[in-house]
Amino acid sequence: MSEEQFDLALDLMRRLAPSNTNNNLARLVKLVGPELEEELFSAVDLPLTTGTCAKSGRQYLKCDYNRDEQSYRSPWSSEYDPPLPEGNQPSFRLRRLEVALNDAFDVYRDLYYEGGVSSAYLWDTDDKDVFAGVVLVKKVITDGAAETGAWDSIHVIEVEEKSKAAHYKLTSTIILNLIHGKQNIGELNLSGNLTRQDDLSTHVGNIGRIIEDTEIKMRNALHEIYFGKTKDIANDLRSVQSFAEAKKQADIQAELVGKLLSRK
Amino acid sequence: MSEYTPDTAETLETIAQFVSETPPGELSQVLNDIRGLVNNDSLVSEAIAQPLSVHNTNTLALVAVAGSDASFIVSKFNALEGNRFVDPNAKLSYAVDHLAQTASDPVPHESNNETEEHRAALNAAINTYTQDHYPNGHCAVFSHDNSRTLNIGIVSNKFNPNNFWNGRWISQWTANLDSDEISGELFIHVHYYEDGNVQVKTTKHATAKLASIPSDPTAFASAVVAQMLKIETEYQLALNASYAQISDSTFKSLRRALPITRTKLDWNSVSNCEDIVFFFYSLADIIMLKPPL
Repeated sequence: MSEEQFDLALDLMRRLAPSNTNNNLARLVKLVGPELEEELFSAVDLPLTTGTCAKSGRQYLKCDYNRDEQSYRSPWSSEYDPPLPEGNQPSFRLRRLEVALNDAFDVYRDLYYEGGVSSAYLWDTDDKDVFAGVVLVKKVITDGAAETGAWDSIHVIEVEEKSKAAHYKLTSTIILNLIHGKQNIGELNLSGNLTRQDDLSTHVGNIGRIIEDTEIKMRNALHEIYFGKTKDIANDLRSVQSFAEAKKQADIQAELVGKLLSRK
Repeated sequence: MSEYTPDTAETLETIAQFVSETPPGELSQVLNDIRGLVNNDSLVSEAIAQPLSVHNTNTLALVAVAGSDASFIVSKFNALEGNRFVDPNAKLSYAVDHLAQTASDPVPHESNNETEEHRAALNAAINTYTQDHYPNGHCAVFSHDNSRTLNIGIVSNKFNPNNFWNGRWISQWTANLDSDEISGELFIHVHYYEDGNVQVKTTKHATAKLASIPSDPTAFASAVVAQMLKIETEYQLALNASYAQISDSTFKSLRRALPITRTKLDWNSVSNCEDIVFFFYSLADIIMLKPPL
């Protein structure tokens, strides 16, 4: 019964207003109870929030993966805020990789987003050959005090290290919010899934390349769907040209074509 | 295992909220999800009654008259007490079942005699306008007792669930026999949900002035429709222009298609120290006889 309810909950979240995801997820959890709460929160992506690293003064992004109890771990200092001496830490080796990943994506973020905040977090799994991580990017633009656009990238990556090669599995979600002028033109949330496999050279390079390629593909898809598809659907609902006029023109054209053909 | 019981008041509020956010053409799926999640059919039936009525009147839902081919739209303008609605052209009021979207129990309804001629003329003009610009459009003009106001409702739905999209356009206008001004509201709701949840919602309020207030009903109707056509066309063109603008500037301000170098990032240049670092740490591990990670 619970798994069925989980599917129904996900189906519902794909139909409710994407701008209301936070509130609706909370409502859903109250409806079905704590049993599904953890599963739901990990399956539904919410816009990211930012924190400031006490040690470095840099901003970082908060998500479930860098949270322990009520504290969040900064990717720059690896310290928790509020402080948590026994808080979860990645292993020695993963932390080194995590630092390299954060530095690399700092460059990536600067080149593509020219602003914004990025963070990467890694963790070991029960399988000793597999580690996982998340790469996050958030960019918000405002017009004065009003927010006009927000982009949240959430890339969850799973890396399986074999002797000669590593397999990378990427699940990406982009949450995009666009508000135009005084008229709310639209809000958008697009989720994409991509699975890629690559050979081991360096993890940072491989992870970086896969995520970069995925974001390029998804940005294009977003562009097509939002500015193409939804616009087409909206224009399907009403025709600027009068159908009577259109029919008249079509009839005139058909008549002309008919006359041309009969001359031959 | 203890049974979790949600708070009833919260459940009712949640159900009402979910129904109000239902995208065009997806009511049965949303209700199906709600029923499965709440697992209490009698509570759900009770909870959806009012929200469904609100949803239908807000979206100008089409109801089918039981036992005939006839249908008409329900709105706040033709609502009577006790969930009855008026079909102004049939001059009948019906009891409406909002879940089934059917109408039954016809009772003759006297429309406002003073405004009926204008209403009928405007209805005819709106019909032509709707058929001319709205594929699968439905419309009606409503009059009111004790008032010389007329209300216009046009709805155009396109449902394409096989391709994961649905859309709805609503036009609602108010005119008055003694006024040269008409006011309107336009709502568009588009839902695209293949591998995601993309929704576009727009609202536009507008007013327009008639050149004069014709006393002749047909001339009045033409004048009103002419202004509606102008505003609605302008709006549709402005919407398309907005799309272009957001696409060109706002979207690009969020994330560029490519870095300013016009090439993808050279990951080797940002990650080349990794190998060296790993080598030394691996060496350190071996020396200290740490188990391989």
